[in-house]
This record gives sequence, structure tokens and C-alpha cells, in this order.
Amino acid sequence: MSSYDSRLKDLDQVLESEVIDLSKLREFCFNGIPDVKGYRSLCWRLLLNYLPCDRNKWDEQLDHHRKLYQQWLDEILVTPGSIDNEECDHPLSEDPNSKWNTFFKDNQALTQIDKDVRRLHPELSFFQQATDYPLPIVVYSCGTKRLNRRVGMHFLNSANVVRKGLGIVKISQKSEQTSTSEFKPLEEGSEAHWEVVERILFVYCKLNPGQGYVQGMNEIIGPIYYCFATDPIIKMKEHAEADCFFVFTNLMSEIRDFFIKTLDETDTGIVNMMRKVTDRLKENDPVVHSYLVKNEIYPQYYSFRWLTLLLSQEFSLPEVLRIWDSLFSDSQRFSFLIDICCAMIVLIRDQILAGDFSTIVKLLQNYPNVETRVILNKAAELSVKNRDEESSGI
Amino acid sequence: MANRAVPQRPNGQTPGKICQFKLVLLGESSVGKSSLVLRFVKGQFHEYQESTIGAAFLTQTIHLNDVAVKFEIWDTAGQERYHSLAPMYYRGAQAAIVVYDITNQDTFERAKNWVKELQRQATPGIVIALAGNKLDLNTMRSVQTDESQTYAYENGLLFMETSAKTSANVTEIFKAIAEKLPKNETTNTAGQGRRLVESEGANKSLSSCCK
Repeated sequence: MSSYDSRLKDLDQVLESEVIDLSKLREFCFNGIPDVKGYRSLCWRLLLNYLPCDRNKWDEQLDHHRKLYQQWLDEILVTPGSIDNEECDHPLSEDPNSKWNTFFKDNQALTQIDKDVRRLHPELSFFQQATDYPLPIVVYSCGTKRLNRRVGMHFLNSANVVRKGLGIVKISQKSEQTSTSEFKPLEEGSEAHWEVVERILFVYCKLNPGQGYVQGMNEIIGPIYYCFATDPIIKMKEHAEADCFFVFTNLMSEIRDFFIKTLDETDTGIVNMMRKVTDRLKENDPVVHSYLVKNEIYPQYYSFRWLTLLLSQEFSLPEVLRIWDSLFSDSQRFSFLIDICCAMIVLIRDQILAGDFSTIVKLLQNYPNVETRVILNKAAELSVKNRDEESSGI
Repeated sequence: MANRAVPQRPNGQTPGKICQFKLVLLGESSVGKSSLVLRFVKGQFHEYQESTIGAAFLTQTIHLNDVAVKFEIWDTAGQERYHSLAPMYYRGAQAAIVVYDITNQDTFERAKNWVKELQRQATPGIVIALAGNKLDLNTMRSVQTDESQTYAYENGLLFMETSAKTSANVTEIFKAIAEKLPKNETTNTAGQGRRLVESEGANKSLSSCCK
């Protein structure tokens, strides 16, 4: 039996036990989840605590959550005015409880989401293709429930009316922006993957009003959705949207502080994470560390994006999937991310030490072609070293 | 000065002075900041450009008479969440391009706020250019040229309407900035980063061509 086959067998064994041993699963997935038979999509559901370890509870859990998501969609996708008992409500209402008021406010968030999902992995055609599982209430609504139709509708209170001097009011024509290229909403009866992602982010935004949508979340949800929506197991694939919503929500609960400005300086905020990368670099390669300091290469220039997006903009999508296998398997949650960032710098130390300010910033922002395997091995090496040093009190 | 005989380099370029400037792009998200830079630096345009998180760094050199002007460009993220990072990019910058989208009035209002912030907090004397981008979508315009023109004039800004898509006025706006930037300083201004850097080869002829 080849080592690949025996690995698959090992994984099957872990997954087939009635109650899955999470530490065993983590140990396995840390070294990469095989790209076949929907293993990754199943393992990510487990690693990110969407599926419980007890297999007997899976059906109930999935069924419950998928129904719940559907219920939220029914509530959230309602256009005001479509329900009869709303006579006192109208689009110009200033009542904070007005459904129209909320509708226009939501549209502002939606405008940002729409801009970002339309540029999700533009190098792949996947997100522009039609999903096999469009949402019927949306795609057979003559466009009225397509979220991207609502984009720009908050202009009612701003752009169309321009007040000139002498009290002359000019109504500027706002023609519907038609996109000439790929990221178009598809025709009645079908919808593109980016439209599905747009809906998931909108639901997330509605259910997490304290946080809302922040640019970059699109880059976090992208790989998860891709993984679920390309699942070869049809009965999982058809629920990619709902499952992706919950897995994304669980992941966000662990990294949401990166996206909140007011938490920047807290323990779990982005500033502290950047500091951890710098500190770990200092421990492991003081020469490179001081060279970066001397050249005024601040972590904000590179590790801010690395950490916020869990490296999703630094590597190609297949590489990101592989890196995330390890990240999601990290029991200390994202301590391994620090090791990866540190490894990325150490591995190109010679190029850094030979460069000036411009070259180094460009190098770190456009990470050179280093095999993912090499980076992860180096990161694992650093992580073991650091753990040993910590336990021996160094 | 222009007629002064200068020794030729093997590649035919004159060993003129090299001036380096830090330039920052600011503006609401999706107005086309990254697209403008991509057009200026690489001559490319992508209809869909991935969103910028933090800031992207690029460089480009243009030649004005015998001076090579090297721009160190910081292309910043537009969304409010990333606003707190902006000062580290405009601090010490000698030039800024504040971008808005001519089809979206809100982005013009946001641009005005950026201009105010720069005038209050950036390096005094910073050259600010206002770019009304997406000129290719002229038929969907909601910000009128005379409105922006007047605003730019009143605030002492350079102003051009640009299109990263068709490349209209892209090089021109960078060139206009380069022309307006002082190229006669020879010393670093303390605390403002690498303000002026002379190329190795040009060091010796510096005193003669720096006026």
C-alpha cells in the first residue's frame, strides 16, 4: 500500500469512529487534508466546531442549522412594502423602527459587500459561474430579491438631488450601472457563486450588527465557500451556502477582533498579533529582525494583511486551502499562524538582507514562489523549537 | 541648465539628478486607487481588482527634463476600518492623490474629508492632487467637472479627471505632481523618512545640477 493510500486509510479510521477523537483528527489534518472525496469540507466542518464529534448527532445538527438559515433568509430577504399591514410605513419615514429606514441602511452595507464579492479571486472563473443550487425565492423573483439589485438604492437620500446655489435643485439621472464583463448577476432562474457569497455575508452582517461587514471578510469566506461548493459529495455540496455561513461565523468568532478598529490594541487585536510575529522573528533570526528595524520596515507594511486575511491574499487558492488545514488544526488557534509568518520571513532572509527599503517591502508584499510545503515545514520546526524553549523555561 | 553638456551613460541616459518622493493614494473604497496605480506603474487594467487590505507599495520613475523622479507609492485601503492606518502612510509624504469616483457623489464628499485631514495633519507643503476617476463612465456621471474644479481651485489642489481603464490622464496627473514638487532640496528633512535620495552615480554631479 502506498503511503498516500495508508494516509487515506488512517483518516477514514479517525472519521469512522462513532465519537471522533478531535486531537487525532487535528494531528492528521495538520499535515494536510487529502484533496479527494470531500475530506476537506468534512474535516473543516469538524475542526471549526460546526459538526460535533459524536457522529450520531450529525444529521440532527445539520438539519437544524440548515432550517435555521433558511428561516433567516425568509426574514431577511423581505422587501418592505410587500406585506399588507404596513400602511403607516413609507420610504421617507424617519421612525427608527421603520422597515424602510432599516432597508436603506442595510443597503449601504450591501453596497460595500457588493463591491468586494465582485472582485473575489478574479483570477479564477469559479465565482462567476452559476451555482447548481440557486435559491429559488431569489432567482424566481424577477430580480426583486437579488441583493445586488438593492445596491445603490440608498442614493434616495443623497446623490440624485444636488442643491445648487440660488435654491436651484438639480435631479441628476442615475442610470443603472451595467457591468460589461464577467461579474454580472445571472439570468432569471440561476445565480452565480459570487451572488451566493454576497447573500451569506449580508446575513452575517444582519445577524452581527455590532460588527457589520468589514472589507477583508470576503477574503476569509472565499476559500471556505469554494471548498464547500466544490464538494464531490452531493448531499453536502447542495448545502454549501448554509453550512458555509455557520463555519464562517465560527471562524469569525475566533478572529473577529482583527476586524474591529477599537480592539486593535487589545490582547486579541491585530497590533498585538503583529507584535507577536516581530517578537518571534527576533527570537529566531535577530539579524533579519534588526535589519528590518533599521530599514524602517514596519509590520503594518506586510504582516497586517498576512494576519488579518489568514494569508489568503498571499498565496493561490489551492495553497491557501492547504495552509488553512494546518491553521484550523492548531489547538492553540492561530499560534501556528505566527510561526508561518515568521517562517516566511526567515526563508527569504538572504533576499531581505541584500535589499533596500523598496525591494524588501515589495518582496514581503508579493511573496516569492516558495513551496507551501517548505514554508509549513519551517513553521512547524519553529513552533516545536519555541514550545521546547517555553517548556524548558528559556 | 538644460543645455549644459553632460557625459552620456552607456545606455544613453543622462546621469541627471534622481529625486525620490513618497506619494500616498487616499479615497473611498472602490473608486479605483489601485487601478490608477496599476495603470501608472504597469500599464495594465483589470476590471476587477482584489480589495486592498492595509496598503500596497509600488514604485515608478518618470523623467522630467534631466531629472528622474522616482515615486514611492503607497496605495491605501479605502474602507473606514483601515482609516486608522492612513496616517502612517501620509506622514512624511510629499504628495497625495485623493481619488473619487465621478459616478458617485458620496465618494466626492469622502474625498473632501481626506483633503481636510491632509491639510490639517500631513507634512506642510504636501502637494495634493484630486483625481475624479472612472471618466470612461462619463454617461453615468453624478459629480460635475465644474463643481470639482471650483473645489480644487479654492483649496489649491491639482485636479484632473482620469480613467484607469482607458488610461486617460493617468500619467498626466503623476507628471503634474512631479512638476509641482520641489526638486532643489539636497538634505533629508529630519523625521520625515527618506525625503530625497541621490543615486550613487549622480552624487558627484549633484551640486552642479541642483538648482
